[in-house]
Amino acid sequence: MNGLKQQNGMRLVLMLAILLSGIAMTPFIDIPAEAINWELLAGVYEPSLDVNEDSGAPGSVFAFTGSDYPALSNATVYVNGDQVGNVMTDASGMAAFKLNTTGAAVGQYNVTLEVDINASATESIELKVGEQVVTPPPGFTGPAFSMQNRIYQPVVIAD
Amino acid sequence: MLNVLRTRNNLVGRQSAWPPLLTRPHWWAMSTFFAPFLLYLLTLAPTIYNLDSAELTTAVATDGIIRATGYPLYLLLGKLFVWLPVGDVGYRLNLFSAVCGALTIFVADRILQHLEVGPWARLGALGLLATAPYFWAMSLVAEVYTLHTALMATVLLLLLYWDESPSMPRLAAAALALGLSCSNHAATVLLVPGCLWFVATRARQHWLRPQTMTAVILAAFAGLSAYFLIPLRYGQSPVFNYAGQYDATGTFVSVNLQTWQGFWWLISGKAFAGQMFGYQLAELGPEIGGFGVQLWLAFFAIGIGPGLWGAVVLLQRDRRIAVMLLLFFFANAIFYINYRVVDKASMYLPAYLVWALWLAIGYQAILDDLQAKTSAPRWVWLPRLFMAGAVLLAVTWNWSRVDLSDDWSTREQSLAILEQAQPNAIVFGWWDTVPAVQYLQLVEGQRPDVTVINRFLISGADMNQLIRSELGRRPIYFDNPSIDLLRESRVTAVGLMYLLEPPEAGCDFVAEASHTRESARCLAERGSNAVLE
Repeated sequence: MNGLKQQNGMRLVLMLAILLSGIAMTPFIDIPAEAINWELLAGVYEPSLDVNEDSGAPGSVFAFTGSDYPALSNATVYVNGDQVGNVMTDASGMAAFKLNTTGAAVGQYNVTLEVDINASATESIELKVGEQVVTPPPGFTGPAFSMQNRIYQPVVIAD
Repeated sequence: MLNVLRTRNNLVGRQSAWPPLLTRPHWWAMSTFFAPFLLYLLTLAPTIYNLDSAELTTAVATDGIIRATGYPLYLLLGKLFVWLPVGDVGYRLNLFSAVCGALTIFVADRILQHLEVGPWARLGALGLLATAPYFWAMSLVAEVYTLHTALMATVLLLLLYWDESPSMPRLAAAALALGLSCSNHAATVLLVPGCLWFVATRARQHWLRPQTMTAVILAAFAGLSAYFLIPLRYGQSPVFNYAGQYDATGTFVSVNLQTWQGFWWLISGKAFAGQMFGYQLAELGPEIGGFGVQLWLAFFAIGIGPGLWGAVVLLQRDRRIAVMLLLFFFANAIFYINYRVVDKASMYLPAYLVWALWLAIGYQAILDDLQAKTSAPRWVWLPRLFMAGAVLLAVTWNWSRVDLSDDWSTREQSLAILEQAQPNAIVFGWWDTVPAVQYLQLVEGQRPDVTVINRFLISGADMNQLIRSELGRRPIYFDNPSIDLLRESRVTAVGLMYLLEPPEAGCDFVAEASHTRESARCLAERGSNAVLE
């Protein structure tokens, strides 16, 4: 009699384990609450460009990382609209490069990474006197481009 | 627990010409269609929807051609819904998806009945499938996915019927369904290994005969014959055609779909070859994890354990069916896990269908075991309550995530773009703007003076050249101006779009050291426009 009860108990435990095993995973899953609509599915090419620091002293070397670009594509780097180099995106649509500001004047620069014309993102950096010299984080890899020959000419309107 | 589930091919004396469930539908069968259909109807998008939906709807309504892989069966069957006297054309094509979604549940129920799964287990499993977020969502807008799952379920059911009582017509019927399914969605090829396994592991006299093989091949080709629609439509020069490219003069150059090369380019999906198996090995971990999470969400957590258990039970009871389903599942899962697109979550539906079948079998095994082997069979109502309760919970939980019954955003956005466009304008945009605007133009006849170009159909270089040549001659609207366009034109935000105009006099902007005062002012203005972006 006890054996039968034990067997039934085991069966119930097994059944509950099967039924509830998925629920036990709940703490490990980020449950989305957002609506499933076309906005959620529309990210055709909406790339982003990030930089390790927003500002630094002239002579800094900034580390840029682009993501969500078309994969394995030739991407062009622009500084304030002027081309400074090219980098290939990897299979996941990411690209990394360094921007050497040695010789550049203080001021704000818009750095754009663009693949063809259909995927483009811009990030700003500012060169300031008295700031720390920025360097890429350890292990950061990617081609280095120089702003030395493409000095930003600030627009001054004298009234 | 394992010996309770039996499949019909293990039973003796069931040799009727066609299954009675097909010829004598009863209330349960009806409800397996109408219950999910009602759910979808209540949450259906009321008008044209965005992205692929707009493209599909416009192509169906205008007898057009869509991008790879052509989806000819969808274009044909969708036409039946265009003629319905309800709502606008967008709504009618959304309704098509709802019917196909409900049909999937109906056919899956037939499959489970064939596998002798009881009503509670079927309700619990198919209820979770019908209310899985993406299955539900894809049943509410014009899309190819629910037609795909309906045809996939039909192929499976017909193969099971053939297996029960092998005959040439039954195998040919399955081959016809497979061909039709391929005519809707080329991903049907992912089902072929499973189908071949299932047929080839049956005694050879049932399939390896010249007459049978001939009938099967002919039936498959009959199903595939929907592809003839593509060259036929190409010959009629459709106004809506996504198989080609615009050149730098703004002329659309269609791929010649009446040549084998052009036809194969479209139906093989070569345009998307770069996205297929588009991940490196190191990136696959998160993608596999992502699929697992989607599966977990689809079956509301509750369906994971019993689904796995069902796969094991089926493997013990009927290896042939089990391996076929495993091949279906893994072929689809592996392909789409490796497919580098942003909307892949909507493409896992075939894998979800297989999982729902496993889930039902797992549920049934649990119920049978409780009923047959415990000393308290009356407690069997508890898991039944659990299964039905999970479905109700899933409906409640997911409703707000998928409900589109009040979503007019696509129509409103497209109307705004057309209203804001100056006469004779050119509008450049991506999938989220262009196809729905084309729907308003080509289906509803609005603003035929505006030229709308999907950037998917023009190279960056050609688009730049076209814009340069048209700048100042026609108003040009753009969804996201590039660095070159910002440099070469005056950019003004107009609603969702940006109006590109020629630079003002003296604003011939190339960053030079010697700026005049006027060009400097121009540059400053340009900077403020760039901020708008």
